[in-house]
Amino acid sequence: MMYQVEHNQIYKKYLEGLQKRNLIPFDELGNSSKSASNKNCDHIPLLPIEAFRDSKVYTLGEIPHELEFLSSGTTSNAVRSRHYVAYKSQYEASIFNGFGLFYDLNNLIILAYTPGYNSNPNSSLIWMLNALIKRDKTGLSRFLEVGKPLDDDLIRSISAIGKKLMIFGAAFGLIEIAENFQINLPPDSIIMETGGMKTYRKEMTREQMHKSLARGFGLTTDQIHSEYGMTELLSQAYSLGDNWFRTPPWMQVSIRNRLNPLRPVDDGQEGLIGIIDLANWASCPFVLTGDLGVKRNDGAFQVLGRANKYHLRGCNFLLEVD
Amino acid sequence: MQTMHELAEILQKIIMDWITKSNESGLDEAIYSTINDGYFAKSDVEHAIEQLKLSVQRQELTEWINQHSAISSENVKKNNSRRVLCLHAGNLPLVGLQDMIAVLLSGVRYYGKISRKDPYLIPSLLKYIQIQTTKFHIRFSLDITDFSNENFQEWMFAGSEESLESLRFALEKESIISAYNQRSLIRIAHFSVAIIDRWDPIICSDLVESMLRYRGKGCRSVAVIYSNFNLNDLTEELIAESERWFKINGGPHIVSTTVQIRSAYNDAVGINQVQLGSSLVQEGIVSNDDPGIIYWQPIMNLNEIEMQFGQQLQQIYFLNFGNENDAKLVDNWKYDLLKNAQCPALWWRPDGIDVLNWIMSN
Repeated sequence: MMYQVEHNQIYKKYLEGLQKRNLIPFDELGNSSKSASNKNCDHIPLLPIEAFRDSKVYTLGEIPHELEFLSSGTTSNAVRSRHYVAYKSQYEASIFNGFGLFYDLNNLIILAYTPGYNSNPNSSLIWMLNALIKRDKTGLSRFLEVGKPLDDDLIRSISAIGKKLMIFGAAFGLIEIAENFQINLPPDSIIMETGGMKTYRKEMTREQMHKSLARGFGLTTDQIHSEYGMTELLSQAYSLGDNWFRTPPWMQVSIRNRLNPLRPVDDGQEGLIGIIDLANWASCPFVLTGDLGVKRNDGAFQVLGRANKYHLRGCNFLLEVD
Repeated sequence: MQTMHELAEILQKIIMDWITKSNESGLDEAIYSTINDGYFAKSDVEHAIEQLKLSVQRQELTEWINQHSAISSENVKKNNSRRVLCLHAGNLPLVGLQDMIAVLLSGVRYYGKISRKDPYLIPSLLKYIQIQTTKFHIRFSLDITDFSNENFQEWMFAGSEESLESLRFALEKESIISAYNQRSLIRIAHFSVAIIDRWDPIICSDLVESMLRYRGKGCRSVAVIYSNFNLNDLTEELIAESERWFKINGGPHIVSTTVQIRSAYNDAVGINQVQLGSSLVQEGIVSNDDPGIIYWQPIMNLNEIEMQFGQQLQQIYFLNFGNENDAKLVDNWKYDLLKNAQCPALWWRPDGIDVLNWIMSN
């Protein structure tokens, strides 16, 4: 945290603003002997994720960044978030080491049912998939052509070498491929959905979506895994078929009070998902997302969807509180 | 059997008596309890009651009925056996009043779940109506379980889409609403926007009222302003007008933590903003849901605005419908004048739905 206060002008100004309004104590800025670095992570002030859209969040000043990721705007004139990544090798390390904690990389063939790297080089997800694909020495891992059926010969080749198949893709794309084509996957395959339900044509909960994917791919729901990541983060959390996401040790989740995100909520209570991602050291590791979630006391968390933006204004009949 | 016009006459007189004979009608006590228990600010309660009084003086109940040529005494007779459950919101004083009046006017049996956030005002009126006449069937409660096993086939509420399924499930589980053949009126709009293409002291006054009244709550409150003026250029006038407004209406109130955090963030990233009491008016992309935060945006065309917010949007306010191009706007329920933002006619349409028409169209 001290490093961020010293090198991240946006974060520093944000903390100064909070301090000026008496929302955080003086020692938050590291100006007293009670260093903020000893702070409980649940109480570290988190920078709203919009900062990546509204400003340049970068700690290395004039040192040029090696990568620049852009969020996917859902409308043509949407202002997109930008994540400046200082060192390519550090993003790679975060991807491989994080992924490796959950899966045996050497035993996986990865197929990505997403746009290819060349058509979307500024997507952090596509960059990650490209890195995972390139790491595979068999040459079988690859980007799939969107809208085309899976290549049966490719599936047979994967089975023949005894490796496990993992298909990555946005939820809506995976559902469409499952609905439109006859698919015969090896029985131990894993589907890794990366979210993206907000652009799908139907309203669907994550559970319903996993059931639909399992049915479509001829697998069980515990073979439908999820990845939780975003442009503004260099680390990812994974859910291994039970809808509870787990993080690598350098990434921590804290659920914050919606009305006062400086305060954590108790385990089991709903709130905004806050992330501390140390791989983000050259941008900002302390990020308050716009997603709602809930956390268990073992640190695993669920994503409940986007925090709706306009509920607090209008009429709202709530049975629980009424 | 009464005609709807007769019911309207009776109701108008009772409501006017409830307001003007406030001591004996119980209104004074309801106002005192509402303010004293901290549910709403005195000025907001007074504003809501004053608007109701003006509506009744303008004979708006009668006018509302006149807008529906199909309504007849036969309908009222038919309605006498129908029952409608109204789940009233409580985010503003008297916010459930329109639904209640529409049900009573139509001759349908009224069952009201009163919000615990506005527990005195509507019950005070309902009790007064019950004392004054037996023409209306009225039953109400603050406790939803009082309606268990009623199996209502018609019900109405205002809230969020996300809460609808869980609400429906909970109501069905307790047999409050019927699991079959039910009919519901759901309103989900959450805020309004204003187009500011001219500027003078009256516009400034109307704009401040539209933003600050009810502390920004309610779907008619202005949450986004589209203007060809820069916020910076109008800051001093907005501050001066808001100070005048607070002198009349009380306040400013304590600035919420959400607003303070947003203000600190805006300072950090360089977004222009101006604090008007507990409300923050800021430039930048619309991204927060706090009623204390209002967004100042460059002017956009109407289609883009409507597409951006969809069903969340209640009204788009204009300064006038003066020129030829604007004439077609008058007939669209979504468009209204800024000066009407916090004083709508009794028949205004939440989510574009005329509640009286909804009741009568079954």
